[in-house]
Amino acid sequence: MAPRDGSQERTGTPDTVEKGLATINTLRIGVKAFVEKDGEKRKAEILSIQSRKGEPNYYVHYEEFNKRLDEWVPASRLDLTQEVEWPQPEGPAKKTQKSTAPAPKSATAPKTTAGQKRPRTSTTAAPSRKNSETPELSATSGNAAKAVRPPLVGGKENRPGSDGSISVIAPEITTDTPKGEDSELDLVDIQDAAAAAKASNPNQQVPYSREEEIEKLRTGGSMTQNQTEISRVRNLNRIQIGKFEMEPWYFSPYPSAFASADTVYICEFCLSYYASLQTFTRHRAKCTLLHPPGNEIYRDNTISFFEIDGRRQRRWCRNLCLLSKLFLDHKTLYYDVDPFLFYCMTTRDEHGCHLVGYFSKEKESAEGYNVACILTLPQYQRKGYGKLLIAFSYELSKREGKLGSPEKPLSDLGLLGYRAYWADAIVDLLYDHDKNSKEGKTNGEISVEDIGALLAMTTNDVLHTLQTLNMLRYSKGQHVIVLTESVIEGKEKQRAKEKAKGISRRRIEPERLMWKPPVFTASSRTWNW
Amino acid sequence: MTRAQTAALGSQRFRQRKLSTKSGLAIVREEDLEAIDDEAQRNVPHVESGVEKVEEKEHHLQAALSASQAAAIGGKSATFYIPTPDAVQSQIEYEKLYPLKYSQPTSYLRFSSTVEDCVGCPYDMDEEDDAFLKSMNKKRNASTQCSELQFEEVMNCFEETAQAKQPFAAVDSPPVLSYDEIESSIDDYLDDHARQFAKDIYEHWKARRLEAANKQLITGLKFETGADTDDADPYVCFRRREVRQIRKTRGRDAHSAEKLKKLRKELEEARELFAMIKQREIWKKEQLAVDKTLFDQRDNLISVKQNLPDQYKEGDEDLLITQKQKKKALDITQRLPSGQLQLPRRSDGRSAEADLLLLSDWLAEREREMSLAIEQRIKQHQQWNEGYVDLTKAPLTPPLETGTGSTFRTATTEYLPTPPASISSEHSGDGGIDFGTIWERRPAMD
Repeated sequence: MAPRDGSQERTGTPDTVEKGLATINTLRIGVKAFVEKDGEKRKAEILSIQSRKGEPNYYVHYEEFNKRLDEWVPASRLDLTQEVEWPQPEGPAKKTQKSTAPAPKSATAPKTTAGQKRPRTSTTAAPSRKNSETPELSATSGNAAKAVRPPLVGGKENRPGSDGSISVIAPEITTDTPKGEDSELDLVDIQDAAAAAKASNPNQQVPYSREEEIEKLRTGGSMTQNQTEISRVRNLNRIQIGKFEMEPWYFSPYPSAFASADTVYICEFCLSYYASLQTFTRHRAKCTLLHPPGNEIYRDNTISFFEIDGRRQRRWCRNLCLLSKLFLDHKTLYYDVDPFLFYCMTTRDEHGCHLVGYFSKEKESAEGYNVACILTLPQYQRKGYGKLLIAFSYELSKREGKLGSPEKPLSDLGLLGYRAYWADAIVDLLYDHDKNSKEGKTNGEISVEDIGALLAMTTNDVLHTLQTLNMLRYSKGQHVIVLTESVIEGKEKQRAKEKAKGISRRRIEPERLMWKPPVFTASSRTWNW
Repeated sequence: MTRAQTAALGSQRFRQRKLSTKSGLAIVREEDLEAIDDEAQRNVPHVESGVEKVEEKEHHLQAALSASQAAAIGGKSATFYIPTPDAVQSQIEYEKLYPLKYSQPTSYLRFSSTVEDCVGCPYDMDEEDDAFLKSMNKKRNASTQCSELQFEEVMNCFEETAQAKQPFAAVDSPPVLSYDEIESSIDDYLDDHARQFAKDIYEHWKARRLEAANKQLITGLKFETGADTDDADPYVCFRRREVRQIRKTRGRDAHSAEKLKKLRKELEEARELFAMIKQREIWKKEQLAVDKTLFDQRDNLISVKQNLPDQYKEGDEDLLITQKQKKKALDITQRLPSGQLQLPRRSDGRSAEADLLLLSDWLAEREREMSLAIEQRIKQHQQWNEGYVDLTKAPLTPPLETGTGSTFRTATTEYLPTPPASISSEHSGDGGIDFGTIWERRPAMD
């Protein structure tokens, strides 16, 4: 947890920020104040103010925390003994941004921001957060600093935190997926490029104008980076689905009347939504669906996968998108679901096939993505389902004979989930390869592209993973892949555990997949989307 | 990455060869690795993570990343989870709400029904409806109770009829439909049993519609309305992807226009070729008919001469001539199949004058006979058709009833599958006319 003074330091903007003491009555939207969160005080921006039972409530976004932790707080949690930062007035706000973004192309950024400022309802005004966040970029160095830890012996299995829920983001990818036009990669160049990219990243923040982005979304992709779409106050209080209840993480365009409902009930099978228990009960009395409305393409002892065409099952897929938008920040529902296929993972019991998670996939991805959005529902997170979903997406790519990569950018959970899968898959492959070559079965060498081809991963993703695992090294004048002790230890532990328990990890078994890549005619793609 | 580190990396560039992704790399164990340049190795290169920059800086993600980083380079660290709002067990009566039992088929499921197919009546009654239904049922005796499903069906009928009759109710706010207006469509929705409740429920429905400013009672999603406010409205979703015409470039247009023009031209040429072939065959047929007429007339001349003693007396010349003519005529008929068409010629120059005179007379007479025959045929035809009305769309033979005599009406046939040719449309027109005349002539020919 970042200490209070740390965050203060970090957010000290280069431009003079107007500070001062505030009272309850002078607080307004855009003010940054210190708010108590889990026993400590964090700086947070007020995004909305609402009166509940005569008491004002504040919707706050904690700096450096993901938006899913945004929440309504009563005035008592605001620390008004400390100075607050007043929001920049409209005009100068743009100036601030220009000056803080050291990018040469940043001239486009303020324009877009201006265009995005749109009238909102009085209670849900969320001024562009970019203004406040731009300064942080130049100041932080947390990643690199923490990363340079000397290697220690021992360690647990190298799985990053959560392998559960994943949310993936946004349409454009310019530097990613090099399709081998330059297979000679300089390790050092990558580092330099990364550093350069880091330095210039304020450019990338707003790579498209709103209009350009909409045009791009029309032909492909499922994610947005548009701030007006992303930085919205969460609209639903609570949802009920299946045997579970949970708080949504983000805004989703369910009917606006639902915002006032205490709980929104969602039918577990058809994913229809109801603002009252009475209507939901009535619906349940009539609904006969017991599984996702599509063809089952994979089945093992615990899970099934269903393939659903967005065009044929429009209502269901819309319902699914509305639901998943509650947990995916950058997902956009601007356009309809027609150009996507939805692969839904379910578990079975006597009640039916319960949706655990899904990923969507463009029928034809110009960028070569094999996943658009991917989500494990919160009630099933941290149970290893996310990794299965990812594994399944790569299994489909293998069947298609293509290399795949998820749509970028990833969310925090998405990144962790993918890194965990990639690491696992690559280490598994290398471990076996190494073992076989020691037994003289194969030649010991393997190239980065071979690994990619075997796992249906793009070269860049393989490189990325090898580097994060610290496995790509330079010895005796040439590059080698190192099976580090921590990696081996982790793998052996894992395998021993499997042996002892007599069950293997849940994995996708290719022979159970009954699937041929669907083909869509050019005319159906051109005219029916 | 700090500046110092970046600089350090830069200095190593001389020593490190480029990494080729195509060439095989040896897999080694860490303990087999000797003399690692620690300075180089410890710098874990930072690659683009794919997370949006602003979010990459988030506290919890950084904590999780560095935890896994530490694990990767051998450090001990607990698995770190990014905190997320928790999902909890619901207090809902699950067994009651999800009563249906699922039995798994042995083969993989194949399913194509839509949500609409599976949810039954789309109207779901709410608390207000429930209260009304209860009070309504109280007033009724046990045999005429309205079930919840029947109530919903009636409400759905009202809603859908209103939607069909006032599709823009949300915009122009017309008055709520009267019962009479709805009644006509009740048959489509309701069975006899549900019908008896319609009138009672109507009042309830009307009250609710009035309350909701005559908007739909089921709150649906907000779709695009075409208004300018759509774009800014966060609740508007699932827009259609408009048909891509804007993307059409002028070059592509010209290209496809060129292609179409060429295709049209080629088809036109083929059609013309056929029209010309048809014309040739028509002319052949006409010629054949003329030849036959000539032959018949000569034949007649001979027989007449034989019958008239004075003519006969005048000499053998005529006979000789006719014999010769006959021969010629026969020659023609024999030649015909070979396709070589020749007009019959007079062989003798000497008798040509007399012959000509006679011929013209005979021709005139023959003409009369012919028209007589035609008129007879017409009469015959009319007789056949007496008492019948021709209702066939395209009678096999064109009706000749109107023809009063020898004036032939040329029928123009318009059987053109393609639009009239842009080039040389006259040709095709001619062909059509000829076709018609042939048909009209046929009775006279045999």
